[in-house]
Amino acid sequence: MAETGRGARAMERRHQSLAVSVLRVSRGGPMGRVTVRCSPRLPKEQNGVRGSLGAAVVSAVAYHMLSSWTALDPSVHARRGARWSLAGRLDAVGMRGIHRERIETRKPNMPTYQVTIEGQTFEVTVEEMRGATMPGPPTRAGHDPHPAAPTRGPARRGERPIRAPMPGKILAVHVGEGDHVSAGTVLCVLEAMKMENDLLASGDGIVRSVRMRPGDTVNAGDVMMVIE
Amino acid sequence: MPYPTIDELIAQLEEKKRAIRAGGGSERVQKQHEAGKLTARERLAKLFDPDTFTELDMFVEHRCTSFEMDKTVAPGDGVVTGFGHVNGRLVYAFAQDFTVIGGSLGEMHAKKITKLQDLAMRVGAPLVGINDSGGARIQEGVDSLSGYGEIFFRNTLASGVIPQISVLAGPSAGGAVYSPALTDFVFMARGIGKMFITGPDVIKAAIGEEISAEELGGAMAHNQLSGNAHFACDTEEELFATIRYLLSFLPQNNLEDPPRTESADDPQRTDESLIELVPTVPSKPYDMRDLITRVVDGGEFLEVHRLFAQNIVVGFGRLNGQPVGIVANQPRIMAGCLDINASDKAARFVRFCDAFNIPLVTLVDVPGYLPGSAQEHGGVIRHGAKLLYAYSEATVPKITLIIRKSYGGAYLAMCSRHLGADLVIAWPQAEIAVMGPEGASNIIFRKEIREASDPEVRRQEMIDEYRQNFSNPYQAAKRGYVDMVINPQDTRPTLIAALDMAATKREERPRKKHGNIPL
Repeated sequence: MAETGRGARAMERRHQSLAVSVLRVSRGGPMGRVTVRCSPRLPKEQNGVRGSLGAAVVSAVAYHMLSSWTALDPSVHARRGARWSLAGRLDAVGMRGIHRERIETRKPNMPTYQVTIEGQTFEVTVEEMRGATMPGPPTRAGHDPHPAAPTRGPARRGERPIRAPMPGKILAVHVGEGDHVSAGTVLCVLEAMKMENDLLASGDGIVRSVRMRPGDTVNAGDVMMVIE
Repeated sequence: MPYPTIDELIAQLEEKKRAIRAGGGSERVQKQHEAGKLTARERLAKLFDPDTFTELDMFVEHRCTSFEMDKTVAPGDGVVTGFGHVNGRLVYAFAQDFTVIGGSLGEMHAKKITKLQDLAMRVGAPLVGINDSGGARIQEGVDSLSGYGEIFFRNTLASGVIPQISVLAGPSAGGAVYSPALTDFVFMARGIGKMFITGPDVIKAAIGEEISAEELGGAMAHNQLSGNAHFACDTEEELFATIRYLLSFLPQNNLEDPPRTESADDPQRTDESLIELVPTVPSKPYDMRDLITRVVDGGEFLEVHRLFAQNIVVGFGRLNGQPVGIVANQPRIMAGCLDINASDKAARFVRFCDAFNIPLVTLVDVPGYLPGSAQEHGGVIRHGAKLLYAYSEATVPKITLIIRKSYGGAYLAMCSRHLGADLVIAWPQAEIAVMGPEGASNIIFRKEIREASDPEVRRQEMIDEYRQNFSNPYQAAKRGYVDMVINPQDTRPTLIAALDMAATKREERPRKKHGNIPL
């Protein structure tokens, strides 16, 4: 049997199995990004339990993503809809050579991890299914164990992420980092609904980062660039 | 004891009026100004033509004795009501006075408003409500709740009878927000107007979310995100000027036609620039507003809901002096597709126009409904159905112009012949079909493409063939679903002729209590 990680042990101890399905996959920008749905919900973090469970899920998913991506043409990454039941697999996944850390995002209820496996970095977000609660530590009746946290993230004031309004393919990027833009400047062209949509700057600013290249596909809500 | 002379009585009256007009006193008025807000009476002066406002119920006072309220003087009970002229036409208005016990709504305050609502409905003239209130007057308990309820009830009765306009020129929280929500148009002043069901403090206590009042319920939040407001104005001056402009398009009530004006713009004016405006390549966007302003009288177009669901454009313009409601897909935003918000926005506008006898001009360039689980699970079927319902139900003249793409369910939804359009006009680049050539060819010629020696080449051939044979207005025109195909430069004269033709239209619907629009 391969080396078993702390996360896997935590799961075995609870005799739980986790069903994980992939909601969104994108390989745009500097790193691949995966959003998975995990059912039942991860229990509230207590004595590191959630942390290790979350880490186990994340590692397993990232491992699968890596193996499926490297086997495929780099331009093909339609692994959306894939499902895994992790309980029986965690030992096979192994935890060696996997580095992961929790990163801050705008969605505190959706833990996001940056995972590095064999030099490749992924961002994995775990979206927890509502309703199904894992029998975790008892909580007071009527007390939501997962209180909604602020939706505003630690984004620096003045920085505006430019998000994709709908899923599509980037045809052209008209600005680069450091460029000055004013209201109405065409930032990039997004092909969606068979239309070449010009995405315009809503105000004046400087492009801080560009997170996609022509040819990338984006999902609705993906940050394409940041303007300050 | 001698009787007072009439001069004394008049002096006494003037003194009473002067005290009431001072509102909450100079100190509170100064505070109101420091907050960047006008007072209730200053606002009414901006809304009405000069010196036409007549105030009602000046002497009304509250009747509350609990919590030492009997010692509180509240001139006019915190609201100014009355009538006057806007562009020479009768309009009713109330303005809550924040300088008088925070503009809070108690029993008598509400009675002043409901009296005005009743009057406006009986006479048949628009009602403008200016909201600037701390909310329910807690000392008056259920009497103040009752007041809100009576206002909501009348808002509902008046809906579709007289135009109702709400202004958010201050806070409006809790139940108070439902009166504006029930009215036809909601105006918000940036940085001043706010509305929410539960404010930032309650939200923080209940679920731990921290958000400022402006971000939660300010003008931009409601104009861009929630769609609860239709106009965001930078200043109160701009706000009241916009209301006056809006009213110029509207009839006084549902039994009148909207006011026709003399147009300085030639009804026969053709415009060659329209030929080049819309690219024939269907994947190239353009700004639909450019098309609208080149067609309507004098380029004047009052866009409603400008910042919300921008993939569809709705608003008022005139064609040869006749006010019309324009609904148009916007190819520049999200390819002009229909989605949940666009359907809601357009359906509400269509129903307003139908209720007030304003003819509808629909400009179509739509690729379809936006795909995706977020839309499906958000109820795009139910919301999209509202647009079909609204157009089908409407009996005003309905003129449809198909500019370019018009596919599938979205073709039907955009006031197609099948939903009762009186005249359907198309430009030569119109593509009316079940779906685009790529998608259709992949399905129809699946087998042929698969079995071809070079499937990609074959596929492209099939797409080209389909485009040539079916992506045009003539298949629909052959069946009479499209009445005419025109040169784009003739758009304005053609639309004006169509509206003239349909002006006396009478269309009956089965009698019923009311329909059941999918809400």
